[in-house]
Formats: sequence, structure tokens, C-alpha cells
Amino acid sequence: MSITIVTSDNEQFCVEKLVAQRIALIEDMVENAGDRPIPLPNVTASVLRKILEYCEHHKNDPLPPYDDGSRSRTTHISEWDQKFITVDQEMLFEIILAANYLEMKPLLYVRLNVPRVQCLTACNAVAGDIGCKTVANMIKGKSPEEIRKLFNIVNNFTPEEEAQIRKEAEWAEDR
Amino acid sequence: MPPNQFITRSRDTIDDNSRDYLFTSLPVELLLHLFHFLDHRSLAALCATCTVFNKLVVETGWKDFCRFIHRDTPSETQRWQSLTWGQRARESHLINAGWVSRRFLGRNLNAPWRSKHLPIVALSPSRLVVAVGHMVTSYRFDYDHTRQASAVKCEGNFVVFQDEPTFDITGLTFLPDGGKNEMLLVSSLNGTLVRVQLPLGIPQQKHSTNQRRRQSQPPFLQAHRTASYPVGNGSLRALASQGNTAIALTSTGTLHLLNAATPWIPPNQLATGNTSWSTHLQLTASLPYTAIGTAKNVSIYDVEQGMLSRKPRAILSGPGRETPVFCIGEYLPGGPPELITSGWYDGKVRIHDLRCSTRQRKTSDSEPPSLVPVMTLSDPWRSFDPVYSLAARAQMSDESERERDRITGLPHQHHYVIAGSAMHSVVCLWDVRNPSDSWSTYVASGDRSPIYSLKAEGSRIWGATQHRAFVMDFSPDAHQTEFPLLENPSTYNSTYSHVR
Repeated sequence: MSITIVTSDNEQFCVEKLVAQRIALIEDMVENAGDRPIPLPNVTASVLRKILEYCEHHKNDPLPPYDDGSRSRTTHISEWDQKFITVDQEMLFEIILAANYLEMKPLLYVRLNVPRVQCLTACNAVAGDIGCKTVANMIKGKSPEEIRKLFNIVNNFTPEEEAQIRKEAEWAEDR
Repeated sequence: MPPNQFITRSRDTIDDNSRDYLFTSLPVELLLHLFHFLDHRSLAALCATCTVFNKLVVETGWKDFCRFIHRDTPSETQRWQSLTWGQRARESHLINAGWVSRRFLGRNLNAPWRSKHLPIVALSPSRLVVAVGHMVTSYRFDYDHTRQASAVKCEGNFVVFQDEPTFDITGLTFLPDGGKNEMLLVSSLNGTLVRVQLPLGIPQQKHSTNQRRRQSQPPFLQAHRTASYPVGNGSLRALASQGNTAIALTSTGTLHLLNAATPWIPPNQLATGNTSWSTHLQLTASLPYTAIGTAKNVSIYDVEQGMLSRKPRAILSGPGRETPVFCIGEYLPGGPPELITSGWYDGKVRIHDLRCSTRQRKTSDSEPPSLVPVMTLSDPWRSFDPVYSLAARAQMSDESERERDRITGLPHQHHYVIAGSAMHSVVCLWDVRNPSDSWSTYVASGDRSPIYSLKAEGSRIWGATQHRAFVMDFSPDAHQTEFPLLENPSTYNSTYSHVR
């Protein structure tokens, strides 16, 4: 059995139900949509293709245990996921945003419903872990100036503010 | 792009020309999620990039960071509360680094006592009490607002057994009294077990400055006895309590289980007949128990509804031959209560898991099962010195955090088992995640004494040798002036690694 999804740039995707169930928002909409195609106005075709690729690869994974927001500060990413997330910065943030949209929004509607929450976390891994871990690895070991350059962040501190912040952060530098 | 241009765009204002700003335009909940994966260096660097990230890290990032690495120090609560989350992150990180790199301030709390004693220390969030002979010295944890520093002040010496000054105190624990921490349970060598109230908060006589200068000694006061418990005539050797439930142990192995709040109910007694040294009480385990360190091993007895089981539930085995156990403690404060640490005559610290199925072969069906240790720790340079005292470090401040970390296994980070050796005032510290790379230190040097008693917090270790009470403070800002003024404080502490 399959489901039709329409992206913001009007591309239609025919998705196996088992795969679509990994995406909580879609699963939610399937219940209401019946046979009509499901619109995803916030996701482009190129991003959805990536997300479906992830769901396809992970469709037989057991659902992760209930996640209460705790995780250790490890930034290890498995080999397949590493390859999957090796994309340009724009795509990386698009994936994070899309996965956040597809997963976390329904999370707000159905929170406290624990069995549903467990399902939601499955694809959350894209938004939460792999994407964020990748960004964290990009930041690791860089100076403020290097981080600004990497992400096009504009330094909007006054020189006094910047000196003060540097001073407060001295402890974190090399110990 | 002009420098110093403010980034105030939110996600809604992104247009196709501003793809460059994707990172800063991530929704806040995603950025906060990302912070989980950043170490202190990355957070500090991000904090210094622009005002948006500065605000996020300062307001939320550091707080979240502390949740992972902070270990609670009740004696410094007041100072901790005065810090920003950024300062707390610094402090927590540097304290943990101090435990690894052996950076600490160590010093004694008193001028050496004239004669030798077997002191006992007890710790509560508002004070440390040290039993020396028949006296108790109390140190209060204060906060100096002008210097923004902790202040540990000696607030007095208390006589507990005035009528029998020749009998030493052998056990000392705090009883719940609504957070005042002025009520103690005290056992003595002649078999007396009493509840006393420290006479604190009583206005002391005012002295002129000259008089006060002459009276540098803290005041001697009589502690008020508020209850006494009928525990027979045996000499009491050890005492343990949890809440109002207490267990007192005689040297001949008779156990007295009692509720300190109801002194009129006689204790539940059990005569094991074994020479005994130490005891431990754990009521939060799914099967509450008490552990007795005997001249042979550790015996575990069930505690159910104020009653002790007549036979041991289990035996914790040691080196395979009968070996005395001088101290027993919890393995991880707030961790699984079935894990139990014991200090043995053969210089080893053994950790047993009561849930563990690895056991020695039963000799007969009537014998209780004998559990083998799940971990054995020792200082390779002092492998023959008995272990006299134990403590453990790693406590999360809040109940829900502890529950969460019990599931994730995180408390083992920055978790240390600490032991006091029988010789040369040596304190051994084992990082349980990497016991072979651990270290020891001679504290309060000059005493060729055992460490008789130890307590540990996130940033401090408190303890006592035969001549003095001491502190080891790992806080990056620890300073001499936080502790009681002494003419010649002993601050020389040499450390050595366990790696041979």
C-alpha cells in the first residue's frame, strides 16, 4: 500500500506506507486525508527525497526507546548516516528544518501521548541527532572568528563587549 | 557585507537571498537541541560570535551544560546560588578537571589534638561535625557576601557524655530535624546510644574585644540529651542511619535496629555472635538491607518493617579466606542501592552487586549465597595497608536528574570511590570508569596515622586522622581563608599516581 505526497514545488511522491509511517506528520495526515494526496507546503522535492532516502534505509530499525531529552555529549554518527548527511550547508539546514517540521509540530499536538511520542522519535533522528551532531562537529575546535566565517555570522558586539566575553570565557580555552 | 550589522532575522523573514543566514535562523528549540552536543570550548566559542548566540548560551546553554557535569556540593550551596550559569559551568568543569589532574587545596581544620583519637566525621548541608573522644566539634557552612566566598566556621565544642568522659564516641550521624541539622545520634564505647540536640543559636555571652582575643578557643557547651535508647551493655562499635531508622552494632556482633523518633519502642535485636567492625544501612533498595562487616566477610540482613531477618540473605566474599571488613558504604550516592562498597584488611576495596548472579558455589542449602565482587580496587603502592574508611563522589542535585541518570548511566562520569588507608594518612581516589589511572595523596602530612573517617561531596572531601580533621577542596577558587583560622595550617599534600 502506498501514499501520495505533494511537495511545495508540486512534485508528487509515491511512498510505501511503512516508510511514510516513519514520518509522524504524514502518518497523522493519512488518517484524515483518505485517498487524496498529502500536501507538504514547507518541504521541497530535493529535501523530501533525502528524507525518504533516510526513512527507506531505516524502515526496519526498531523504534528507539522513549527519549526524554537526555543524551550524552557524544557526536558519533554511524557510517551510512555519515555518508547520507555529507551535503552542502544549505541542504544540511534544510534537512534539519524539514525534519523538524515533519516531526516536531505534530509532537506539540499529541504530547503526553507516550506511544505516539515513541513513534515520532524514529525520524526525529534526522532532525535531532544526525543533523545537529553534524553541525556540532563543524563547530568543534573552532575559534569564534572561524565559526562566524563558517556560518556567515555577523559580529555585532562592541569591542568592549567582545573583550569582556573573551575574558569570561578564558577558562574554557585550554584545560 | 558591512561589519557590525545586527542579525535580528527570524525564520519568518528569510527570503531566497538570505540562505547564508540559515544557521542563525534555525528555530530556537533546534539551536538549544544542538547545544546538547557541544562541549565547553564550543559553547564558549559560540557564545563569543554574536549577540544572538551570546544570549542563548548565557541564558540556556550553560545551564544545560551544568546539568550534565555538575556534581552537588551541599556545603557550598549558598555560594553556588550566587553564581551565574556561566560561572557555574566554569566551576563545575574546573572542579571535575581538578579531580582528574589532582589539583586541590588540602589542609587541616584544627590544631593537632594532643592525644591520639579515632575520630568520626558526619556531614549535613549546613554543618560538619567531628567526634573526638567524648567531644563533638561542629563546623558551620557559611557564605561571606562581601568576599563572595564560602566560610567554614568552627561554632563550638560539645560535650555529649559528660558523666562518662572516659568513653569515646564510636558512632555519629545526623537525624532529620526539618533542615536545621542540629540533631545527632551518638553511640559510645560503653554502650550508650543517645539522641542529642546541639545547643546552637543560643545567644553567647558578649565579650570585649580583648577578652575575645584571649578566648580564641571556641566555647565548650553541653549538648542536650533528648532521648536515649536501651541497647544493652555491649560496647557499641559502629552506627549507621537513614532517615530516622538507625542500626547500632556491638563489637560482638549484636545488631540493634531502631527508630530514632520513637525511643520508647525497644530496638529489634539480633545476636550474630561474630566479631564485627562496621555497618551500613540501605532502605531505598527494593529489598531494604543492612550490611555488617565482620572479622570474616560482609553479611547482608534483610530489614523489613523494623525487623531484621534472623539469617543473612547473602554473604559478600573477599579474597577467599576470612578477612576483616573495617568499613562499608554506598557505591554511588543516588545510584543503584544494590551496589555496595567495602574496605578490607587486605588493602582492597571491593564492590558487590546484590542483584548479581555470579556467586560462589554453595557448600550446603542452608548456607546463604556468597556473592563475588563485581569490581576490586587497590592502590598498587600500598597493597598491604588495610582500608579504614570509605566515601563516594557523584551526586546530582535534583531528584529527577538523578532518576534520568540512573537510566542513562551518566552518573558514572566523574564518579570516584575514595578510601582512607590505615597508614601514613593516605587517601586513595579511584575514577571508577578508569580505575587503573587513579591516584593517592598524603593529606595533613605529619600524621603517620590511618584515615579513620571520610565524607565526599562534588568539590570537597572531608576526613579525619588520629590528630586532626582535614579538607580537600577541588574548587578552582578554593582559598585558605575559607577555613578556620589556624596558626600553622598544614597544607603540604603530595600526590602519586597508581600507574606503576
